[in-house]
Amino acid sequence: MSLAYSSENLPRGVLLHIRGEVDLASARDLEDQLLHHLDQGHDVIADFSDVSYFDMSGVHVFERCSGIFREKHRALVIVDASPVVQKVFRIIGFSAVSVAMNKEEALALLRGIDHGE
Amino acid sequence: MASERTPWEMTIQFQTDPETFRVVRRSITSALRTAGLSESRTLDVEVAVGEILSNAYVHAYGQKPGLLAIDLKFDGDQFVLLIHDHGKPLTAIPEIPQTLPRPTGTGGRGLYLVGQLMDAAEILHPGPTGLGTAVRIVKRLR
Repeated sequence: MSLAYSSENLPRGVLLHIRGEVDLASARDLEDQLLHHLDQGHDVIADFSDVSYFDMSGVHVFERCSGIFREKHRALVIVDASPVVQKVFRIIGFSAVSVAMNKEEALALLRGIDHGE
Repeated sequence: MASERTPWEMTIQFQTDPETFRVVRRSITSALRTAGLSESRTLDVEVAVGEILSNAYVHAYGQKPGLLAIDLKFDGDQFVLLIHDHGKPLTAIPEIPQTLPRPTGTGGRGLYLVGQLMDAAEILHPGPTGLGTAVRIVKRLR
């Protein structure tokens, strides 16, 4: 089984809830989901509270996507990262994408981002 | 005082396939939990194993089919895992990095992560069969 997604519309973007394991088998699917929402013109807040496994495959997804989002003046923010995600990010000094503690903080981050408009 | 926990060992052999890796990770973590390893430390091992399998898939076998094996031993106090392949030797990274490699470098961040998650980690050139590469990782029960 791959990842499961559900989404909630925001004023100018989407809160994308991701459930499952982000690994070599599912990383491409996650990247496709993020880029799909980017193609819709959305900022994306990726809710990682239900990600039970996460490794460098997921890090590479966000490192690739961060530049693509930036080029299109859209924001990509990770929110409520599960313990395994937080641990991987801390060890490798992850900084490609903003990480927010909760939805309110993520929305504040979006408001502070230049959308090129 | 000697541990009263019964030592055991197991070996898993499988083909390089990302979906299979998930099955293997779960098999390993199930064994670790049953032996009494905490949830947090079990997850450390799971991520480390996942990274090593990804490395073998990408670097040793070039994302093509190949044979992998994991020897897992528990001596009552610690778990020792030897993950080995028969593929292209891992020459670009001779040992587990002790400092975080740059993202733009020749890689190694995954193995750095392995080293940080485990109590001990080393790369063996070649692996125990005289071919490929092996990574030996250790996690203490406590």
